[in-house]
Amino acid sequence: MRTARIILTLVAVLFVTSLLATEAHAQATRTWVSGVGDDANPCSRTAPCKTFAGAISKTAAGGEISALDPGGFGAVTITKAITINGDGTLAGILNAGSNGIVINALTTDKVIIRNVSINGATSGINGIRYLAGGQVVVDNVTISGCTTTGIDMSLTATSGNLHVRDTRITKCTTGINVTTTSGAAVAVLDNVRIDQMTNGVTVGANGRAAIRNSSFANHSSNAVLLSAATSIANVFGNMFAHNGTGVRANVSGASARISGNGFFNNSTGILAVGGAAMNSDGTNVFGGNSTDGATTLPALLRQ
Amino acid sequence: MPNISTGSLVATLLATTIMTTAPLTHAWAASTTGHAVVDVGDEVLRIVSFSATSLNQEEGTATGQVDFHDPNATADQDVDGTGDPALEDAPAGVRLQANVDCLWVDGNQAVLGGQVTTASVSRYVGMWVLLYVEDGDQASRDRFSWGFYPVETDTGCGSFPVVAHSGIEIESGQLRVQQ
Repeated sequence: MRTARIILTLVAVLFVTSLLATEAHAQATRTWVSGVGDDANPCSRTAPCKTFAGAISKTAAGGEISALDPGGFGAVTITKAITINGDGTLAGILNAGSNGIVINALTTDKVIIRNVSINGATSGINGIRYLAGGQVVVDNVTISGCTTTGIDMSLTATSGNLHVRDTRITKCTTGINVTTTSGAAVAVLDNVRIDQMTNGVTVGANGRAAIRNSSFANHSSNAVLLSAATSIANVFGNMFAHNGTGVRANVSGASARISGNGFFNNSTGILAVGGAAMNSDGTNVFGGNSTDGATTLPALLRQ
Repeated sequence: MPNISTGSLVATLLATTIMTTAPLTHAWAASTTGHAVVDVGDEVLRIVSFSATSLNQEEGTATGQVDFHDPNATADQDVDGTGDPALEDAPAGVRLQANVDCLWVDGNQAVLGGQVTTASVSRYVGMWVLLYVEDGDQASRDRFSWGFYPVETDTGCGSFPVVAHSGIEIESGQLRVQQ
């Protein structure tokens, strides 16, 4: 009897050992979410997950989470290279009372947010919060209803690159904020529509913004604000209408370069304060502003 | 290293018992049995045990049982505030049992499904569960996949082509498909 019990125990121990001695299985390169998915699923195409947060742990670094059908897929924190893609359907994030997407990845990681709708429902904090990561691409994304910032690029002691294209941001306090405590926070905005904020784009300490082919309307303070002595903004081919100020360089050392923009019906078209630079190549158009404002020398060179 | 609970061990051993008996009592019918530990790379080991035997192969009806345990803490999936039950009370994941009512077998592959009858997280009761089983040979490991679907989707064994299922190599255990 005792021998049998020992054998039984030994068999059980060996069985458990065999269960535990398993090698880590590779994560899927592509995973799926669905409005009728479930996070207990493996996030495959036939068994999709319910949320981005549920899918991300099952997705390999450098992989992609795709949306199978329309749905709200929840807020998510990203800590590795990943693509979130809602191409072909409505991939929504309803982030009332919280951040929609937080990116806190490695400096070698590239994160792509594509075809996603982020709605803070008037109480969301930030649509996208970019804290760390080598490069973040925001492509064809709609952000609205946040209490703070649509895309908050607030890096700490690191450099980073933000590319925003074909994106609409509305009804937040600030559209896009670009800053880092050291290094350079580089933001390239192309075909971005930002409306109805206090400030459209704020370029803060160590911020480097390049803005083209975009429109800024109905901002109560500034469409583009350079707020630090280390702020630089290259502003080319954009439309500024019905804002407090179109482009404002607000402190000595800040440098705004403007070319080919239209400034219409703003309280002030352009404004350089306290020795800040507002350099132009003379190709901007002003109309209907209460005050057009003045550029500073030297003029940008046309070659 | 993820924990393997006593309950999971018992369930696995139970399924092993089922596996060794079911084919004997229904040797004439298509069937699939197995127990497996599966990892999708998120450092969580899911444990599944199942047994299914066809009642009518043409109609795809079957009988059997599924026991599934996902020890991952189940998140609140009420992402749109639409009233799904919050799941903060499920820190130990979900453990559930289902009755099998369908089985499709094609060579060494099988799809079995049914409805969840009991679960540690109430929202899973009544949901459809589908298991995909691939009985590997000496050259390839057994593969397995699973899915849970809301009751209103009326998901069954024929909801997806067999080739659409993407099986995951099991970490340990054994899967058998008999046509």
